[in-house]
Amino acid sequence: MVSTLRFSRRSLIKGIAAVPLAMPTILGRAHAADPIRIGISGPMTGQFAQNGQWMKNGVAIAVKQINDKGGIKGRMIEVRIADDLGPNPTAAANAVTKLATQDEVVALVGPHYTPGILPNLPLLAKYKIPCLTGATGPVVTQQGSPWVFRVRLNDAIGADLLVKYVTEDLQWKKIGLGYVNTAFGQSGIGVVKASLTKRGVEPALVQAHTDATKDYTSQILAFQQAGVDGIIVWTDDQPAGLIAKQSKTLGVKFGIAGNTAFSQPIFLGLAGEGADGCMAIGEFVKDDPDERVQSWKKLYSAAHPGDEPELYATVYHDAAKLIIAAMERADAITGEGIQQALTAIRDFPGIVTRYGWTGNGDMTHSGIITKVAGGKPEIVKAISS
Amino acid sequence: MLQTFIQIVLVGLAIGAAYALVALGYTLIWNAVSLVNFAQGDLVMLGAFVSVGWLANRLGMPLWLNLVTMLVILGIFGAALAWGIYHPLRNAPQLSAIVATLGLSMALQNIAVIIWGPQPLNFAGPLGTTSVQLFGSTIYAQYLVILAALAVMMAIQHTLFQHTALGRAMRATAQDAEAARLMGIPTARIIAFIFAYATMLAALAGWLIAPLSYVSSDMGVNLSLRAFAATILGGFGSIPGALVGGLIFGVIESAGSFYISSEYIDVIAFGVLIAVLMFRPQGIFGELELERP
Repeated sequence: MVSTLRFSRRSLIKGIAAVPLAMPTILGRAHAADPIRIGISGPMTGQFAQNGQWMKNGVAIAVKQINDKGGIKGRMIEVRIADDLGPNPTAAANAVTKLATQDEVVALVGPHYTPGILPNLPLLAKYKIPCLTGATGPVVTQQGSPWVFRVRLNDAIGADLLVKYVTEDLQWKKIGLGYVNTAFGQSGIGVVKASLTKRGVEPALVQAHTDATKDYTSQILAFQQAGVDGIIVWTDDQPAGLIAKQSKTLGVKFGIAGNTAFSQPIFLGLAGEGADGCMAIGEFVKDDPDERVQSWKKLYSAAHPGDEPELYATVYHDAAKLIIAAMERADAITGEGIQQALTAIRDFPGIVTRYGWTGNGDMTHSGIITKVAGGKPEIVKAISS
Repeated sequence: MLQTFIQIVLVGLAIGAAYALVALGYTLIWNAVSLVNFAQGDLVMLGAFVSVGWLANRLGMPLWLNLVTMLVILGIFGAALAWGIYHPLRNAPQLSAIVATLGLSMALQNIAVIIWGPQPLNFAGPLGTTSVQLFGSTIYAQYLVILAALAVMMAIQHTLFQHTALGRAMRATAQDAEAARLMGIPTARIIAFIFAYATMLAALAGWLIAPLSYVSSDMGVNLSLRAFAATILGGFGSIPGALVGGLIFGVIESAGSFYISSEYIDVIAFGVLIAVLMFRPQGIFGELELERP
């Protein structure tokens, strides 16, 4: 009995002594099994919630693919989501703060909107988290933040290419401008104006609207009265749809060209027949015969029966793939490690384009001009910077 | 030039008619219970969603039956608001009821996204994208539908208020609820009816403007702000004021955007509002309240 007790004590002491020795192994195993958290900051409620849903869909497919293969270095990826209400600076700053401090994510997808990302630039630096965004406003990368990686075509490039197209290929001489009165619209139309000035064209008329504007009759009639050949509009999907729809209803003859919004499903749905003839600078159309696009289309539709991919699901799927690639290449799966690995990415094959980091944070360097025909955007010209 | 002017004024009047319908709701509820219902704009959205999201898209209901059914549903919802929001708070500080309507506004917007999804819905309305030629101008026929609907609604309202016992009871309750109750008018029921009627006006506005744009959870936000400004412009508490204020506000916006600048449209519209209030603080039709020294 005593012997047994002594033996038990000895075993107990040995056991206790062994714990510190075994700790690194135990902790190491636990650490390796911990999921890696990445965050999505996107609009999940309100007017722009559909875009947030697409962001989620695109990221979820990429994450499922890597988790099905066993994750990264044995760790699964977990997605945390915060609602940033779209182009809402306050909500976007709160969303990123929550993801960084409460969810402890190591990388971010979004915020998607230019007004949403601008207040987050200092926060990304503070929390040392890289973010992959589809915000196209030139101001996003003008401030030189090393934590921002833009996965869509910078408006500074896209707007210039669109102006080149309408002035040289379409021979528009008298051009009206319209923009949504946010940081995104202002910076985009700023590039359009500069590009026109460079080509010796002064805008015939400049009009502004908000995301809440529902009637564009006065603006459309003012463009008509100014005798424009066409208008270039930098705006969000919903206003783009209304401008095209109401222009059609009023029977105006001038052309309409604009940012990617003028090729997106929300625009096509709202504009109806008014969408036909509208041109856009963009990056993706689902009917692109490219093999990668068609494979993606099948994959997406299998995950979301009855639905087809559009730009935002696709570009954020690519963004998630870029983060995963960076994690696989990073020395350590931390915000700083992933940021460093992202800066080393060159010619990465995505669905939208081949991504490559350049010093200013831009990772996309080519785009397409689309024109809607029969309710579908078709590629009329491929362009690269 | 004259053709464009006619177009601009007609568009302004049509948009202003939508403001007027919402403004009338503000006014009726304010007169009855001294409450500003900040969810009035969201009732515009709710009416449009019920009509398009449920009755048209799910049930395939014919257009006019759809409109009547939607108005009945929203009327019941409005009465429920009186019982659920106003009555429990009628003896609480006024601020409590106002905050409750703000909460209701946010709740309705998010409930709409949960029920009908975030993607905006299209609604063709009675005439689709038909345009008509009027005085040589191309006018979207829906604008004329809106103006006609406002005229019909005002005729119905006039008959209701002036020639029916219910209307007289509503007017009596609006003028002095306590005195009306002492005269044997069931004021609680009449207040519920006023809420129902104000909700139906907002819902009708939603049904009318949906073909111009689309149906989305935020469609009432901008409208409610402008309708509120129109209520002040016309004279807070004045029924003709709400009507005229809405129409004037719509025309100022439309003409200001065309003739001056769309970039400063809010500055122009609200600048005019401030200017009018500087000279007539009680608004166009409002009565100046004199206080004894």
